[in-house]
Amino acid sequence: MSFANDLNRFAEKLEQQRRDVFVGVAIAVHDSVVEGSPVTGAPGQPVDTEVLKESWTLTFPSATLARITTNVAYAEPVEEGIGPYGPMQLRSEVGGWHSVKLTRAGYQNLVDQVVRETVYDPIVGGAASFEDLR
Amino acid sequence: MIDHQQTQKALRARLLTWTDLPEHQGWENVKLQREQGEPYVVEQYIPGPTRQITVGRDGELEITPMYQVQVHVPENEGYGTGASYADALIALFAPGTALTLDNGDVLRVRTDTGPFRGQMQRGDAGWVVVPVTIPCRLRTQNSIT
Repeated sequence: MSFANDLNRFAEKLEQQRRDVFVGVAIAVHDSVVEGSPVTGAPGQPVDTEVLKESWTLTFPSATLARITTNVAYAEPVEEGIGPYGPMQLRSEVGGWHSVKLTRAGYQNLVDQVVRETVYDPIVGGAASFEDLR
Repeated sequence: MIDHQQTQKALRARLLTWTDLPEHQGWENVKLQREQGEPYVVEQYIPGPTRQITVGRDGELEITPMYQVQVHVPENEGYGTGASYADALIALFAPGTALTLDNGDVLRVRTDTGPFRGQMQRGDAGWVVVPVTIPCRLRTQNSIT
């Protein structure tokens, strides 16, 4: 096994990890918006008929682009908690308002989390998180 | 120590320094008094998550709350009034603005995700709403009793 082969294997591993982190972050962002996340503090979407929740879709238009969208017209009022007749009342037992903006504000924390889970190599070792250092 | 009450109090105190603050204000869990044809604001404090960012039992905690001010302006008067209120609010809470809490901790308006406004939306009958969100960051020492 030559040094060049070692470098090639290392480069392949890095590229695989880059792809894994990208997809992992996209999924984590989608989950934070839809289901909620302890990392971002987002509560997820409130559920009545599940139409709104099911409408949030994650697609990959290209190898380096992820898109999370909804086509439900009342998604934005639900995000803000603003209704046409004053502040909305939260009747759902799950979810809440502001999931998109909490996810946006906690984006770096989500990336850190996915990187720790993806790049951590149990054979090579290393600290996966501060939890391991305590 | 995490103190969301003081955090909200500091943010509200900053809002109250706003010279163009509408006469009518809606504070959390306080009955809103408003008049048809008059603008008003409604506050929302969104506590956000907490994580420990330095090691050790008494390590540093990072709390990332958000403060949202919803500006309600009379409908059918164009976008200008709501937009100018929102711009003024964003200037009031410019990125990096530091607010000292009563316990000495310093709350800062985030610079990596600065204040932002949302789309103008239909509000209660007679008003439209422009939401302005201020993401914040507070670092404080952990305290395990």
